Amino acid sequence: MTSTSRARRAVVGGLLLGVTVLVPACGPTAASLPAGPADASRVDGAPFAALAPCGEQPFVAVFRGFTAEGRLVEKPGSSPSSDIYGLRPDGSVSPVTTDLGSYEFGITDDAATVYASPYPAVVPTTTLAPTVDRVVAIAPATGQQTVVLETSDVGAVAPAPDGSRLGLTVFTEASGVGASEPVVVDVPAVAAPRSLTPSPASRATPVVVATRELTWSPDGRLLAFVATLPDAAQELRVTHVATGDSTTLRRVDAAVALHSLDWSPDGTTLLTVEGRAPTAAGGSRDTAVEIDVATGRSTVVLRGVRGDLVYSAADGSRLTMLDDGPGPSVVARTWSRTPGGRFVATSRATIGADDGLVSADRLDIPRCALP
Amino acid sequence: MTTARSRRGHVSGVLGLLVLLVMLVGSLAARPDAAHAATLRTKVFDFNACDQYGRDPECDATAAQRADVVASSVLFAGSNVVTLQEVCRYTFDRLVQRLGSAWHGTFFQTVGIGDDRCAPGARSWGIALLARAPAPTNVTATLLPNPLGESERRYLLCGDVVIGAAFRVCSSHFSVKAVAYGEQATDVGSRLATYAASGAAALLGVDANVDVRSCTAAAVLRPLYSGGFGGTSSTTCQTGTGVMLEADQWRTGGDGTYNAPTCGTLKCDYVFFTAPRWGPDHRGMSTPLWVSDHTVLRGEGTLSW
Repeated sequence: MTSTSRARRAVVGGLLLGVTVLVPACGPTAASLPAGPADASRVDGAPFAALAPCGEQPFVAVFRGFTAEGRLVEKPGSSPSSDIYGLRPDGSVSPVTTDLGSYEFGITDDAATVYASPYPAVVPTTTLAPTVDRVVAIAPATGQQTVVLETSDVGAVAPAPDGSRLGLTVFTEASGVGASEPVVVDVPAVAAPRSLTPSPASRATPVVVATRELTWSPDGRLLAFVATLPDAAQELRVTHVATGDSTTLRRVDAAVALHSLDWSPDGTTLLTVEGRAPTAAGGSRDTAVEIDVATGRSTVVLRGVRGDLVYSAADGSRLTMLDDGPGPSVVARTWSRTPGGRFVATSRATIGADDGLVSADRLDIPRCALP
Repeated sequence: MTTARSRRGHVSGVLGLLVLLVMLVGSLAARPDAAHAATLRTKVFDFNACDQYGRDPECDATAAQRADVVASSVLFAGSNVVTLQEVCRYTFDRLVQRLGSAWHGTFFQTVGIGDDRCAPGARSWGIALLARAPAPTNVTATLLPNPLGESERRYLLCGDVVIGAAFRVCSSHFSVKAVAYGEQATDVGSRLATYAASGAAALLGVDANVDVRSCTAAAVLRPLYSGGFGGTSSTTCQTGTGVMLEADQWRTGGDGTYNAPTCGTLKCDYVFFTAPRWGPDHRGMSTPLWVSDHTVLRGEGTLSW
């Protein structure tokens, strides 16, 4: 009775492009809530993480939020359901989506559009046909959604800084071996997504079985991501989008997880969090590591963090993350860089309590909000 | 003749003694607990592994990290049976590898998933059981009731293992909604009662998504329990109609603390033994493991045969 069958969301390799449906300019398909109440909870009276307002846009950051209700609405495989939330400059929170769609998402640098893909419905284990997933553009101010692309088995969604392209991960399966790989597609989608995975014949790097944490360089020329290898090791790779040339900047073994990835605003470093088993006393041994993109040299800049960490200042002098607080609450933490290059905690505030948030992660801060 | 008969009798006696000795040694070798030749201290490691990397911030460990830490914990505790829920096929395979050649088990995929939580393994996710024993036989995965028409179905996975004596090991994960988990508890309780009626032994590790610490909620678990159960004190508030003892159930002469929480402030996870075959010396301990939002439930009981 031992099952060896694989999840059937697979596509035979090469079919990816064939099943893609281009949706250059469909009308809105679903209206969500407008940006939230003006009296939403404040952090501490100061601008959130010292972020700057983005013109008329309501939010200075978006993140994935979980409520107690959403935890009871399970996606396939008992996953709790989540929504996208927006953070206002004052630290108040409003939902961007309200359908518990468990989206993968990213926000453009002008904070005008959130691109997102909802988690697919349950997949019967006997289904052989691939599923078609939607990628939508969401207007943060209104919550209005517009379908921009329909393609098979979309995972991560990362808009280029100027919003002209999307980095996606898509799952393909060939000869019984499945993998999620990075692709790029223009917006509007006038052509099918283009794979960034080298062909087997020209492949100089190890085969990747999963791709996560897509992040664009500020100039939109490079796409960085975390690749999982067959032996469970993980690599931090950078791919030149135009040529497909790829460089491995860091590799960790199976005992370590690369949890998040963010490009510094000046494009010189990548920031990741390396997750390890905690100490015997339960203390975090996770470390935030900055990697010099030009040299590959890595520096531990923060120890004992837990969660996804991103830059929150244009000069790279601040880091912010969302963390589970004591009990069912979400805490935003910010660190500032010392002259020696290390980071020290400078603020901590509970967010989203009035929205019923019990946990949160995947903070995404648009460039326009970085002071 | 007398001498010869006597010698033959002597030889027969010696041979008989030798046979008895061989049988005794064989018996002791087959039974792990030499001090109590016909018993086995069954040490069950039940764990909702929360193999949700990337899907749930409370379970932010990769499948490989999860397998390695579970293996260490199983070996450290000297467990001889493992029941798992919310586990990737990859995690199961890596765990078997880490536990060593004495361990065998079976995995059952309960649903297709559409993400990379199991990477580098295939997108195969479900429930599993393992034992420090030869490979399970007579493995079955029984579909449980689905009164709400939920698209993700629930199963009872069982297999026969032999650790001195043969007994059936089962693993299950009930739905999160009350109507569904109530019917599933009734179904599983009935199946195991039928199985135990013939004198057979079975144990069940289950995430029931029911909090036995709440007397009201605990009512749906009556088909599983025998005797008094439920609540958070040394007095019980429900009476079972089933045939099983739960490892952390109140009992005379117990450790004084029962129904320890396994998921937040609730007790969701259980290790049941069919009462006729396991003695009333059961105990349960709940210990955290950083890879999951559930704690490990280490349930012990003494199987007799």
